[in-house]
Amino acid sequence: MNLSKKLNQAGQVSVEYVLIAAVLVAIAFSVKGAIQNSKMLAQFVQGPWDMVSGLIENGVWGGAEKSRALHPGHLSRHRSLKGET
Amino acid sequence: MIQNQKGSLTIDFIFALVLVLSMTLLLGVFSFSLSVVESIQYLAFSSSRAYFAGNVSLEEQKKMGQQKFDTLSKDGAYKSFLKKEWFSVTPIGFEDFAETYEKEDSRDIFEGVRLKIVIGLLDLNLPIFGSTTKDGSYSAYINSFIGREPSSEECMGVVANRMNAILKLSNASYSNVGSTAKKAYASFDDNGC
Repeated sequence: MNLSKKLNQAGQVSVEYVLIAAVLVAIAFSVKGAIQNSKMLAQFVQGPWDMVSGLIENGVWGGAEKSRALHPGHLSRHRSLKGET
Repeated sequence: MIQNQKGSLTIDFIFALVLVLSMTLLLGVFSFSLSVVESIQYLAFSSSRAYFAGNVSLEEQKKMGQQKFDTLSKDGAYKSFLKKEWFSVTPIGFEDFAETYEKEDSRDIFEGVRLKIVIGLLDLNLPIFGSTTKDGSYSAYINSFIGREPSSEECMGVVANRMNAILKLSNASYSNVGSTAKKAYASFDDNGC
């Protein structure tokens, strides 16, 4: 029996790589799942959307409902009823 | 031992590419949506202006506003990008929104058009990141409050009320003129509204 052939341990590294790859893939999938479950992107986009919709509706940086009181239509205007002479 | 590690760089690149493209797409969609909103503000103004102009009656004024909205959104320049799945625009109404805005000063103008825009384009499902929608859709209201001229129907109403008030003046004897006092006078608006 050739003892040197039995002592060849090169295959162990490949097995280790496969295991590490499996662990990394599992971690990647769990991170992806966590990101999707926490609705991270939805918060990232929909959070500021309320402010943006307030700006679209009322021209003021603030929530759509709250900023209605700050709509420029409420601003007091000064005008002369006599007109130009 | 595995010597060739070039593949890891490819995986890294693919991963980074997906992330960067997702974010680029999101920013692009957001910018495009805001540009469309700007364009729709003109649509609101134009419809409100058609509603503003005096007409036979209030109903006719509303009809003219709606007609202008339909003309621009269904046949005009807006037709090309107002796809229902991407941007859906519907008029809430042509009326006075003083109650919605809790108007305090009688001189404040909140009469015009109020449009609701639903941006379906922002409802994305990106790889790795997931959905951009948490609860409900992306919607906003676009207003154009420029007021409204009185209709001739309302104008004639004012003139008729004024005539009745004159006939009832206590110090004058207008009501006694003629055999049938009320029929002796005819009210006309004289373009005075």
